[in-house]
Amino acid sequence: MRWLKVPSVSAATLRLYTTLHTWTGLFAGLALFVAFYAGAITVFQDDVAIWQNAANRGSQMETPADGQRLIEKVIAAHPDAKARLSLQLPEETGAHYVAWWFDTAKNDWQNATLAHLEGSAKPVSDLTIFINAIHYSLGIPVGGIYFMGVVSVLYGLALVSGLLIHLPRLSKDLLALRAGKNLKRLWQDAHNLIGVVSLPFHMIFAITGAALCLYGTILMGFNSLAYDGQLMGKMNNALDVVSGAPAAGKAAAMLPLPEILARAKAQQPDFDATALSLFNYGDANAEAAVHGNSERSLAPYGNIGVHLVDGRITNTQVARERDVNHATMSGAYSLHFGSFGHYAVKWLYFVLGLMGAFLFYSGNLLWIESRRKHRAAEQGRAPYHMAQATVGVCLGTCMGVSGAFVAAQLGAALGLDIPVFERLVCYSLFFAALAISFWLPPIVAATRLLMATAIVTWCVPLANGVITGDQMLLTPWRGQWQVFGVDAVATLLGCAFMYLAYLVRQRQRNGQANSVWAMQAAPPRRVVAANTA
Amino acid sequence: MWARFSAGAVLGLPLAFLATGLVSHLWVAGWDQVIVPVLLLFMPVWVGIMAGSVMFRSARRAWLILAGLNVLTMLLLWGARHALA
Repeated sequence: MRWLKVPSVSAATLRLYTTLHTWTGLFAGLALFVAFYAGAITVFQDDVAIWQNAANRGSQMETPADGQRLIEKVIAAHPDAKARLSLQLPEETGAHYVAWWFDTAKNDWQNATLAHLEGSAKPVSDLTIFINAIHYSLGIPVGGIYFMGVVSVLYGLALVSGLLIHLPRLSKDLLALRAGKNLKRLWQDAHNLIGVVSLPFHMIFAITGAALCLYGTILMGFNSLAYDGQLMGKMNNALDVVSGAPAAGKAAAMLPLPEILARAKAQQPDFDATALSLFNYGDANAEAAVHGNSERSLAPYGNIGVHLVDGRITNTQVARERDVNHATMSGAYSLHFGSFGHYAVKWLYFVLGLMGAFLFYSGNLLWIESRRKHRAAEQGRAPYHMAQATVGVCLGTCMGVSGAFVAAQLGAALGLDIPVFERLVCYSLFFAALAISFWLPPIVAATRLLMATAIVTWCVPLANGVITGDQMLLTPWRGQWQVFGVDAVATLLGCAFMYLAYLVRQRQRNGQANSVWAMQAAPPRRVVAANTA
Repeated sequence: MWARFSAGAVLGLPLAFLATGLVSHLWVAGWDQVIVPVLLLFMPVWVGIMAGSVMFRSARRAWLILAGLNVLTMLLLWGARHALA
């Protein structure tokens, strides 16, 4: 009977998808660990932005009139900014208006505040931008984002194949966590449990991650294959709220910033602006897009278009009042950035993000564990080096990120170029960790790197307390909850790293023999012809 | 297995663009009203084709069927664009 053959077919299918899962996991796993660890921290970027620069703390919020002065000064000093000038509001930065424009001569984005009109003279910490860059490009400036786009696709394949492999046992094993002599079983259970429980979360990131990283490439594909070259002309309408009309070449008086914000507020009372984009400033065709969030929406991000000469509302794309394109884009944003439910959702994303990092880490451990020879002290070279790479990349990332936080405060105290110093410390710690992990046996490297990571992470609140004086015993009393939050989370993470170091040390002392984690040196390269006689 | 998978990866790429593009051309309000959903749909469709392609009986079959599907979808897309424009 045909139906009797189904199980055997499915066993072959399982093997196919296990192979697919293994290889996609091998290629993408470590990159995804980095992305999830940095991403979990990026969830709290508004809080880190207050923490990273002591000048941001407790200073008076600038008013729209200050913003208007900034616009005029930047436009006067940098004609390039007329074509497009973006303005972050104090609601987003914590205290100041920050203007951004693209300098064609320098071929780079520039920014300025009223205090630092020539923003590049003495650069302030850009920690949130740096951690975010690690999140979406591993910190690789050229091509990193495309690499992560490919990783997102492999991640999607790993999710589908992982689910298919687990499907036959899904209902039976779902909540099982079998602690016992069989360690692989426990790791497997934990990997499966987290994978299944957070599957919707991971699907969100695979899909939106690929779309965000490969945005331009995907557009080009659609443009040539499905839309006969007409797509690019339609993108402005689909994503923006301004007409994109070229400058008329005729000067005109501009609606001042307080008035622009008031018009947007009058149009949508429950819409709070966080940023603006100004196009063709000073021209008769000047327009503004006001970006912000609506209250009580699961996709809060929205835009309102305002004409800068006559002040009319040109387009409204905010919650409860927008087309399919803007609604989907806003939904994708809020799902990716966890911006749909204030701190409750941020904490959820933080925990799920760290669990995601664990998922990729445990995947590597399972790969090593399933190649383990249970009856021989000597293990294969590949699992041994995989153990080293996993320890080095994962702990190097954790240590490097913590190091960047410490560097933000230390750089300010020493008067260094803070952004450069942050990167220098982060990359040095990462590559040092990688070198140590390939130099020492995996278990020794893991113990020492975990202890080092704990210490570097504890230095985060320490550096902040000593250098800025906003120490953890004072900040709660002053209501500086965002500063306290960053310090407190770093303290807890430091404790977690130290506890893991203790566990790894226990494994080194009392753990099972016959494993790469019990070896003291790399297995020798095998000479194939040695035993032929 | 990897030969079948390559067929899914290589031919699945244009097929995902064409298939999701086709759906958008059938959208009554016009394809330009659903650009963003279609952009987001592309990746899961491509991944689905790649994951499904390992189930073909042989690599030859995988290449042939996926190539055929590409041609078919291209024709449907061309038809939709000219008939519904």
